[in-house]
Amino acid sequence: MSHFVRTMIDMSFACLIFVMAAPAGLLLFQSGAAALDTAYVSGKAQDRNVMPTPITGDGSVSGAEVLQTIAQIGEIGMEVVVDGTRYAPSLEREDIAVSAIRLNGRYAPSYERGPDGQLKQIVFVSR
Amino acid sequence: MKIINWAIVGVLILLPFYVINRADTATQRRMMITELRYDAALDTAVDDAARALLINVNEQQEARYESAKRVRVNKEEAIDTFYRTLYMNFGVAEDPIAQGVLNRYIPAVIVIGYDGFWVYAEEEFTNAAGETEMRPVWGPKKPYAYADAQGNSLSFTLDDYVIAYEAGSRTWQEGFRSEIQSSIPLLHNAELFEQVRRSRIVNAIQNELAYRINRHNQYASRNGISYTFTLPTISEEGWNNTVNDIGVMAFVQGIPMGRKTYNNYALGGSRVLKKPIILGAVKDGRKVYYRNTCAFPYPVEETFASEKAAAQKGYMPLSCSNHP
Repeated sequence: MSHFVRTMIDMSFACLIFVMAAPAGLLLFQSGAAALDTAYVSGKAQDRNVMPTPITGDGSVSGAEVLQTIAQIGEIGMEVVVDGTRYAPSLEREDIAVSAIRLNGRYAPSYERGPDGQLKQIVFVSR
Repeated sequence: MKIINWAIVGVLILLPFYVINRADTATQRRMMITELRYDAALDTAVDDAARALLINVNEQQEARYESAKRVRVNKEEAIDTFYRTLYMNFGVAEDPIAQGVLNRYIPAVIVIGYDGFWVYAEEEFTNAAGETEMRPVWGPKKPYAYADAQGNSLSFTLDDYVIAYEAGSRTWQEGFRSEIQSSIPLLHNAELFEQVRRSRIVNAIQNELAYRINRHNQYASRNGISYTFTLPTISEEGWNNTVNDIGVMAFVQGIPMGRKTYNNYALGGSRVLKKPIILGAVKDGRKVYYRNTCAFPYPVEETFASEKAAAQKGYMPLSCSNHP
């Protein structure tokens, strides 16, 4: 076999390998990049902080919540103060002065705590 | 130029792309594995906490007969269990400093009780030494309250049980919706009652959580965490599960993880299901077993925890529907 023919065969083989490798490499690269993109997009969609809920609580409570807190005062087991009026934990439900509470109003709560952080008193003030 | 030189040029051009691609893939893979591990840690902690809600040291406070959901929750045990499991799964069980760092990323934990909920979140208070201390503490019990335009007020629960104040007669009543004799319009419409009950519970929890998480932002920024904590969007299905039974809901947000931050929440319910008791009895000289809900008059010989246990002792199944 002459040198020319051998070179021809080598070159043909090299070209064939190149023609096969180039698209395969390109395909691999593209699919890898696409998989990364998909993973990034799905990760972004699951990132719950990207879509925060529109609710922005201001910490105030409704009058109904104040009334029902007093109604369960025995179970809550601490003093509740509403606009300066004190309700003791021993208060019976029937003795609550409901008219003193604006059921459809809003109240700002504040909490008095003991030295180890436990709740001692709940204070509601009209807003 | 020889072909080998072209090949070298080609490799030199393509190599950086492949290296970057490979590095990105490896980072993404590590991030996903970390996220899965964190998800599992949070889910397990919340499930354990929900289970611990039912740990009861007082026999008087067991589930009452009126409702299987009416259980006195042990929120202190639940929160201890939550943090213990979380620290263990994050590998910081023996490291109080790392535990403190992890706590900064938990804006709130909420315990959903039968007739109200509690939020466990960071707050400031004056300790025994007279210093201002900031650490997670329990908030007060928040009832699921509602008031209508006529001045009537209801306190909902996780089922039909209500505490109702009727403005007209100025009386309080307590019991299941269908049993209460009252002129409050909402109590006479079962479908509307259910809708209002669910929306009130969800709104109450959402508002309190949003407020607590907003407040956590102020505390977190003092501790060097430059991350905006927000109440995440929770699907309707998620909220429906929340109001179905007593449980625990926890949020973990802002843990730096590669190029992004880890945010997740988990809900664990502790549904109380009573397993049927299997009775082993003798019917016409033959050993049979059946559920205690079947009203058979046969003399009971033994009781079993499962049908399998009864069958292993040689008892034959007897279905209620077989009874003449």
